[in-house]
Amino acid sequence: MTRSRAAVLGLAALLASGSAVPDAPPPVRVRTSASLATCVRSALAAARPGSFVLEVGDAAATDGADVVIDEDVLLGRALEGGQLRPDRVVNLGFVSAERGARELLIVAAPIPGREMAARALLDALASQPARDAFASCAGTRPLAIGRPFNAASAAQTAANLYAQTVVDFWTCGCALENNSYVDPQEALGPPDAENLGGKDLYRGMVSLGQGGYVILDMGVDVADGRGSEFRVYQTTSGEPVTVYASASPSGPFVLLGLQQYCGYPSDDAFSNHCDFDLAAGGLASARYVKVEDGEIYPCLAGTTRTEGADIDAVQALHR
Amino acid sequence: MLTVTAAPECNAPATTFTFPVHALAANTPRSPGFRVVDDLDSPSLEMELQYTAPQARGGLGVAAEGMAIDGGLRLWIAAIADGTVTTEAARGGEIVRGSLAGTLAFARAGERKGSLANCIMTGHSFALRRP
Repeated sequence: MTRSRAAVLGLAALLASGSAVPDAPPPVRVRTSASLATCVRSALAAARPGSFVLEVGDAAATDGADVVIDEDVLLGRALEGGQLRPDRVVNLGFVSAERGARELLIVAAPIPGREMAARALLDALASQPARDAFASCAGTRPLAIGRPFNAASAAQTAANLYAQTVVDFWTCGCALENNSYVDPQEALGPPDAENLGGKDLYRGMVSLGQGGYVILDMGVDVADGRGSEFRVYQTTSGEPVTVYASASPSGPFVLLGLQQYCGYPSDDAFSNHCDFDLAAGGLASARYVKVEDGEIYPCLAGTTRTEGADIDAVQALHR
Repeated sequence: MLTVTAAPECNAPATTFTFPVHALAANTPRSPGFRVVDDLDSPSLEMELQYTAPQARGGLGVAAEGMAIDGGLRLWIAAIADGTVTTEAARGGEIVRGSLAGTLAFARAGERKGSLANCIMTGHSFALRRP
């Protein structure tokens, strides 16, 4: 028998057995909305991930996709509801060139047996070439890769820059019954919240519930200066918060920002953040900060244990 | 009846919206409170208020799909309601006019939330009155 004849017979035997030729793994299903599809394609081309298919539709519906890409605010409930993994979130860039523009998230869905493929695609899209390609296409500033989260270094940051005492806390009765994280003391000190690997599994934050609030004492007067004075660390996606400030623990509290998106990634913490300026309320200084839920999702319709904005910490950015 | 009125600067496709609602006591260990819902079994509109007499304050929100309103439109509300409860013997407690700070968003049926208007502002108002 010639070598070529043997090879043909061998191949025929393998095909007949149906098991020796491994099937190629199915491509990773990536889903994004129509308005983003062009620039997501550019990012994927730069990222050079493995095999994938790009589907266009309502990304928040996930619809069996391994990875979804859409605006943070549109994916918030899918993240909180467990249809997407909060510990598998990557920021790709900014949606528009406006100041304070919302961010675009890439998130993996928890599909059994597909985690490795989804993770590999996330890692590829988190690369600087992919972010630069997206920004170039969208006409936005590129998102720089942040430093990896280091809990030890965060804890070493001067503790007296963070809220010292809880003055008041209210959340509705429904949220008290259904939320898992209702201890306002978790909003004190440096940011230390983290996801423990799945829906509703967190530590180190307080969920405000529908329209709930916490009033915190920063310990000293914080004077208005250049830029923002207060940073709120908010843990899950970009849930909005409303922030007020006062010189007195009983108020009156002056509005600094109404339902402000609170999902900008933090270099030194798991939680995202948003910043507030005393000048927005016409205040020269303040010592007390009131953080109020800005999501205001009906509590009885809630499907998570983390309803409302999730507050990790409040920081004075300067004194 | 719960009446929500969009702020004049909102440029909303309609200005005033009225919903029949039920009000229930909803006290917490911290303070008295009450809950207002459009449906006792399956609410899609819910207001949860802390009541520190005479003031009531808390969140008014609707579920993710919004509420159907006249003209084939949908309305989303996510706002902080704040008002003074007045009591008249014949009518019981009411909030004749309260402030509503936050989001009123409008879309045609099947379109994205806020496609017609998305008004995040302090100038909305509400009333909670007996029919």
